[in-house]
Amino acid sequence: MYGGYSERLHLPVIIALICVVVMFQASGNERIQEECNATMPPIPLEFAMGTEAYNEAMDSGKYRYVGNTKCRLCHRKFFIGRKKDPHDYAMKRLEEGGYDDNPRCLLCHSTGYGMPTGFINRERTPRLANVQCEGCHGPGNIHIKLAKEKKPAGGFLAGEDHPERLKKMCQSCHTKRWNRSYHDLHQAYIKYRNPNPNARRHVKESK
Amino acid sequence: MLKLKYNTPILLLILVLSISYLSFFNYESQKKLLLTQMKSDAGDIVNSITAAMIRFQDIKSTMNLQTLVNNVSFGLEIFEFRYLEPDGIIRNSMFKEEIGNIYTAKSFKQTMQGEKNLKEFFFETRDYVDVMAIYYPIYRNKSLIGMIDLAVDVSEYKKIEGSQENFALLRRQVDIMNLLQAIEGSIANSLEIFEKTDVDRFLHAYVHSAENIVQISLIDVNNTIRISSHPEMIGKKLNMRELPPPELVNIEDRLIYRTVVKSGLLDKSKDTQLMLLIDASPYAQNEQQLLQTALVTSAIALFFALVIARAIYYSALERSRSEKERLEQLVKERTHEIEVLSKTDALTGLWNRGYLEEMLEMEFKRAKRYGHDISIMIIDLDFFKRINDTYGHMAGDEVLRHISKRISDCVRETDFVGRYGGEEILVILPQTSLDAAQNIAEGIRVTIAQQPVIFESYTIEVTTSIGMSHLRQEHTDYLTVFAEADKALYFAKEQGRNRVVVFDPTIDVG
Ligand code: HEC
Ligand code: HEC
Ligand code: HEC
Ligand code: HEC
Repeated sequence: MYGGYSERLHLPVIIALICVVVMFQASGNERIQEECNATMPPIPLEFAMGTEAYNEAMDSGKYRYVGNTKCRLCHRKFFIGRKKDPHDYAMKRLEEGGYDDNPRCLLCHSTGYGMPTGFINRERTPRLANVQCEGCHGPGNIHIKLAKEKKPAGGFLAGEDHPERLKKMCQSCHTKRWNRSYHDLHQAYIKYRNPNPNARRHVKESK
Repeated sequence: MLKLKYNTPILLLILVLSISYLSFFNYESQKKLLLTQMKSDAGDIVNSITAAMIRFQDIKSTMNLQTLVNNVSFGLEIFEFRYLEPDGIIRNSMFKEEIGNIYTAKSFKQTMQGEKNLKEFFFETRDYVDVMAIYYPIYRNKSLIGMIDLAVDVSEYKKIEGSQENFALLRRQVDIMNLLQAIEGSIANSLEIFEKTDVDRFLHAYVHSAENIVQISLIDVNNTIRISSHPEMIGKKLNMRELPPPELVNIEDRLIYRTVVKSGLLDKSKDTQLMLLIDASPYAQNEQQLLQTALVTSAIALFFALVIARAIYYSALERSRSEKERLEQLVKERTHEIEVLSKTDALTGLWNRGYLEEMLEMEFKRAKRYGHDISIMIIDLDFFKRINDTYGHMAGDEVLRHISKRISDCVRETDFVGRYGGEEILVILPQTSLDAAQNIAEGIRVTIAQQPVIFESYTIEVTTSIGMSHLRQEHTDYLTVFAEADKALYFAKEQGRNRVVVFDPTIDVG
């Protein structure tokens, strides 16, 4: 008797627990589900540059992704700082849910997916996983070539030469759906001038 | 006087002190200027040496395969590449900024302590990245002279197999070993070239090319001279705890300016120092000259002050003495004047009546005591009232003064001539017999009568009547004698004036 009662008592608790877990899962996966059913998001750099300029740049064949270890040669502080930044764990988020081969998801969670010389998969392009330097600044080969010769180097498609593009890069990934990262784009943007954007002390806004 | 006495020396002292101060101030400031000059000279030299040394090390770096490093790290997928010296100094690295620093990785320490083997691959995390690394030793003449630190990113290999012993990794290791052997040869080559070019000789040449530089030495953290233009200095330990300020020192009888500055030439992370010795004898000469000038200026100032002080002192002394004398003289004159004034007649300058009476009494007493002769005469101007009335009182006075003068001229110095009354002049002739006195009287009368007195445009004829007497036995005082002379004068007037009458008891005066 008593055992039966206890069994009956167990059941609703278990059901409730399952409900809670499913609900949570649903709330966590809601955006993912939404994303899966939505139209294909644009390639961030294309969104930032505008299709025309983007196509022109890509067709020239000059731009290549090189990976952040190359940047480390001259920007070691940035390299170390960004290693602690959530952008460097973007791929891990996908792996956790088994979405690391979903092209939609990779567009925003890797570097240069869907673009020539960009991320393909972890086996073929292990050094372009996560949102790296070039994920925000654009392909870096030209910059490195220039940087070896002159001081204000430039050469980025979304670098200091085009600050409005860099801001649009943020917006291309941080859409209405994926907007939990910051309340104020400009404030968040400014933080990334710092080698370690999550450091306590940040570069004060100057512009 | 008082002002001069105390204020002037103080003023002079202040003057001397201020001149001295000024000249020494000048000396000090000039000295400072020279020192700053020296300092900036030294700074220039240090800068040029540093530039030259950096250039030298640049050449060295190139020889140490800088290009190879770059090519290797860009071309091949190499994560880190360094050339380390056995003491851990990073001689070369793909990270330019760390060249010269001491390499502090834990794995390196372990390797040097023998816990890890050289020339063996191991796995660790560098900058949050999983790497496979190796310390590849470079030997020369069987002694370890350095090692290559090489690391490759292996995160992706680990992802694939989850094992470090997988085939891909082994293949990668073989590739890396081949690369390292190739590099080893070229490093050995470049080290050989490098050894032929030695820094000491470079510094030595530098010192010889610059005239006033005596020595350049690079001092390491332990204050030991590591590199020097004077090879015999290498290895010597200097006993200085901290960076000494630039100073002038005497070395082997030579004045040397010594400055020690920080330099990252040997080892960027540590405070290596560059010691520079510059010949400071030109400076010393200058300084000596300046000091001399200052001293001479002060001495001259002091000398002049002394001379002036002395002059002032003596002139003050002299002045005070002459002043005193003048005063004394003045006092003497004044007292005399007062004395004389009380005894003389203001108009004629002859003795006055009071004095005459004193003298009469005194001379008579004396004559009586010593039994001397003494005669007196009373001279009276004839018709003096008429002169006054005719020519005026001024003329009368002039006549009186004139006559008095002539009378004084006619008598001897020892005789007393005085004005006894209005126009009466008394002459006392001590030690003079009546005869002699009579002669004098006659002389006076004649002189006066012969020469008229000239007053303005007038010629005034003057005659005198003279009555005389002399001391005789029966006289007890001068008054009787005087009365007799007076009687005689009266008689002379009666007789018709312009004559000398000697008292005679027989004369009868009506
Ligand atoms: C050979 C050295 C070198 C390498 C490698 C290098 N950079 Fe640079 N980078 C520089 C120099 C030099 C500057 C100019 C800094 C300055 O002006 O002071 C610079 C500037 C930048 C800037 C700011 C200027 C701009 O145009 O926006 C960004 C962003 C940047 N680098 C990103 C990267 C990234 C991303 C990589 C890797 C793909 C990279 N760099 C690799 C040397 C390098
Ligand atoms: C348009 C760009 C974009 C796309 C497409 C996208 N993401 Fe994201 N994702 C983001 C951004 C931006 C964040 C961080 C901001 C946030 O969480 O709101 C994020 C965060 C996440 C997170 C961590 C936060 C959380 O809610 O748990 C997960 C997991 C995630 N994404 C999974 C996915 C999966 C799975 C897909 C593909 C179905 C996907 N994302 C597609 C931009 C994107
Ligand atoms: C999330 C996007 C993002 C990523 C990822 C990122 N950056 Fe940036 N980076 C920025 C922003 C935003 C700025 C600020 C540009 C500006 O000043 O307008 C910036 C600026 C820079 C600058 C210039 C800093 C300065 O002093 O002006 C450098 C250099 C740089 N990034 C290098 C890197 C390197 C190297 C990496 C990778 C290790 C990297 N960035 C990754 C967004 C990013
Ligand atoms: C290529 C897509 C992409 C771009 C471009 C991008 N982000 Fe993100 N960002 C992400 C993703 C994905 C995440 C979530 C990563 C995670 O949580 O693992 C994220 C996370 C963040 C976060 C959250 C950090 C936290 O603590 O949760 C901030 C802030 C942020 N991004 C700012 C920016 C800014 C600012 C820019 C523009 C300079 C930018 N991002 C550009 C994809 C992007």
